[in-house]
Amino acid sequence: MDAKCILKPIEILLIEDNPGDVRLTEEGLKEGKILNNLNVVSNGVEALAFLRREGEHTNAPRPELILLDLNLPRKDGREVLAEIKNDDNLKRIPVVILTSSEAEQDIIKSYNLHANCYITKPLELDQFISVVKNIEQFWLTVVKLPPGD
Amino acid sequence: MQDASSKTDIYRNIAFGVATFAALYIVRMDNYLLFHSIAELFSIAVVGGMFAVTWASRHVLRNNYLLLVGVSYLFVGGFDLLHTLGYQGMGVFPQYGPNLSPQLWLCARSIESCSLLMAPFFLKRRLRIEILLLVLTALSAVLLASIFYWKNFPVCFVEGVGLTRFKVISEYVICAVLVVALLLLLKHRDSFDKRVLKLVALSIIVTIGQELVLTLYVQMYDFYNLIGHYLKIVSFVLLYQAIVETGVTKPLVLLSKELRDKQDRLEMERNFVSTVLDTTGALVTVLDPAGRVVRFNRSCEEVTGYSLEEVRDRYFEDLFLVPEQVYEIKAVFSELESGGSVHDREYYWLKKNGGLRSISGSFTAIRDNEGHVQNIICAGVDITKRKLVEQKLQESEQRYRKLVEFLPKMIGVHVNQRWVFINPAGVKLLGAKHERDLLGKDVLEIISPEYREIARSRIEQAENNGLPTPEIQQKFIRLDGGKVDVSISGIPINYQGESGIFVFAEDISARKKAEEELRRSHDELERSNAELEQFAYVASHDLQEPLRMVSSYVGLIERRYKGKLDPDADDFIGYAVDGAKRMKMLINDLLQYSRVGTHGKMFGPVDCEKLLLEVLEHLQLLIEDNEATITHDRLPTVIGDDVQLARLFQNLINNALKFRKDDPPSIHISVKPNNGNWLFSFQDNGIGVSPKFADRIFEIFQRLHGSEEYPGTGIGLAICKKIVERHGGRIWVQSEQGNGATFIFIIPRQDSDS
Repeated sequence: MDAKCILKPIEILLIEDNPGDVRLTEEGLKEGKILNNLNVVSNGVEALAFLRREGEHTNAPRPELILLDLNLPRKDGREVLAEIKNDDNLKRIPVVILTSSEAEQDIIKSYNLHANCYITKPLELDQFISVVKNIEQFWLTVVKLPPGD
Repeated sequence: MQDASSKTDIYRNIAFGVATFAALYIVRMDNYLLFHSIAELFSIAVVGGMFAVTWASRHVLRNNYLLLVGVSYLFVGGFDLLHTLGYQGMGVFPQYGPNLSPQLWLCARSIESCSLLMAPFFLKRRLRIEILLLVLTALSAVLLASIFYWKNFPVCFVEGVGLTRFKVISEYVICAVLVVALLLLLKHRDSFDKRVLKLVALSIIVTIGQELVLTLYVQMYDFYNLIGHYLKIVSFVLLYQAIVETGVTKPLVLLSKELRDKQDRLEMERNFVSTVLDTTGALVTVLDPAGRVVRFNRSCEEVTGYSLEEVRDRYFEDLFLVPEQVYEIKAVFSELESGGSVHDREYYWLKKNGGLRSISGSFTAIRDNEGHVQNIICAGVDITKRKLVEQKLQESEQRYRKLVEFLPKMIGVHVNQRWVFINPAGVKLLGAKHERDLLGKDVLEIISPEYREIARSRIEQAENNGLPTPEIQQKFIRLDGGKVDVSISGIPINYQGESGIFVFAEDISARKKAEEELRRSHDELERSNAELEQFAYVASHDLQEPLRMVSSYVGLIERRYKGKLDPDADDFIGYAVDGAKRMKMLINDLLQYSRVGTHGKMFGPVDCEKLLLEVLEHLQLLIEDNEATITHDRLPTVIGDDVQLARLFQNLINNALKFRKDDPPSIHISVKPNNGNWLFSFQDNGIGVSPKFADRIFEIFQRLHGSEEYPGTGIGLAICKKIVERHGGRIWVQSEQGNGATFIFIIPRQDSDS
């Protein structure tokens, strides 16, 4: 385990418009026991503003992991994904698509747009919690993240 | 017999001749002149008789040779008479001396020989007796003038010397002529009756002999002179016989032969006519003027059953006519009386047994020279059969006419593209009041413009290849302008000698409307179905999200606060969690159910054996937990959706395991071909299904047991049914309550392995 991880919480950005799902994700992350700071934005426009530290998000931390829902108001999650991965500054941040859709075309599109992985939200509570914990575990302890700026 | 009689004749003649000659000889002994006169007169008499017979039978003689000779010999006889009278010592022509007689003799012999010479030439030519007589008369006149008047006839006898050289040579010349005449006769032997030929030839030969002999005598009263005169008699008698034979006897014989021949011919003619009458199929009856039967041919006998004997002399009207027609036929007879004839009259004949025949008869009369009717000829033909056929034909024609008239479909005929016939149904279809409103019109006029080209080409096609045109749809334009959909076909036919087309058309507006309706309602149904499925899918899909919320948070609450609130709260939470769970299952099942239609894959070959093994593997745990035994036949490859078929198998096996009795479940899967399909059977030994619920269990959400007894939403079998039906098959259950169940379904076998 990295010393950085222990000392400093990992910044995670959750882009999700369903407050219920936000809460669930929080609970899941809590159980994961890895120190993290969850930032939440509820639409695509705000998401990009946050990432680019624009407007009211001038002081926003740079997330080290993005959890992105596809069905977002104002700007669709797929668009957000595209923009993130096209932005030189942002494209190195791993994006985990976390969506209720299991449609094949969504999966394909997401990977085409260079999503790092695609996860369908489980219906069962236990599974949901488990999935979130796994995400946490995998992406924050197993995986080597790119150095931040 | 002829020969016998002629033999007797010959003997008789010879006897007669011998007697005569003997008598003459005796006379000669006494008086030569007398002898000579008698002998010559004898010959002359014969010649006279010869001429008489010839002349009398000149028209019957038919043999110009004999005719000529017979007539010529008159003149020969004349000269012989003069020769006899002028004989020395007779004292008739004293001034002329002994020379006269031989001169006249020569003349006679010359005429005789010349006529015998010329005669053959007239066998094949016409002989005009008048001319003959004229010629002979002229000749004789000249000769007589030469002897008596001009006195320039060559000398034949010199007193004391005897016959002059001239006479002798003349006699030889005459002989020569006679020889030639004989040869000519023999050349034409075919023109003569054998006997006659013999007689004539013999006569000539004798004459030749006679002449030769008479060249030899020196003295007037010589022996040769005697023989010569004898021979002369013989020769004339022979010729006479020939002429009598030919002119009298033979003609009579011929006549009687002719008569007999004529009679025979008549007989033959009569027989021929009889035969013709009896052979002909026509009915020929001959009546006398009173109407009684005189002749009745075989056909009449056959048709009526009467024989000629039975009807002869009986009245025609009594025998054959039906009472109603007697008057009519009697009128016919009257018409014949007044000079007419009647043809082709149809009437009935009564048979002997009382039956009737239809006859078509003609009546004619044979009249005598004054025009009175001698016989009435009734010639007829039995047309009973024909009438029967005509009647049948008429009946048949009536039937077909009725058919055409009353058929509710249109039947029409057009020739040269113009209507010549339209049946009442057609008239009505085209909105006309009467057939004549349409006849003569161009057929294309009643066809809606957009179909005219097709119609024209179809007509042309039918006319060219003589085949019927297939039924197609067209639109007619009625007389009132309205349009009507029709189904029309045609077939070329010969209509009253011209080539035309039979048209059959049916108003299909109602049918079309019905089809339209059907299609519309079908489309509606399909649309409605699609909508429903879509709805079910969308509904269940969109329900997933809120369901997830409820389920998740209730779960969270349970997790966090179970046992931390009061006991009621635990119960409440418990029910909520349960409810959420069930709702989730329901929605899931509903989603799956709707997906059978919307998420179905395209059909392809599915190896059911492999599929089953995969499903069993999938259910491995469940099978082990239940200690179940599953057996199966070798399953075939079918055409279908493998995902759905897997689900089908899974649901059925699941059910078998779920609805088990206490005994370990035992499931057997079998398959057999059935009418070109595959029949699958899933047999278990579970709790079974009562037959009265056999249909209900396949309905969506229908459960026979509460959720406490057996878990499940009751959609499993509904999904099975939907899957089977999507594959074009059928599913049902055979079961007894408490006695296991066999689920049977059919998958059609558009197969890849047979």
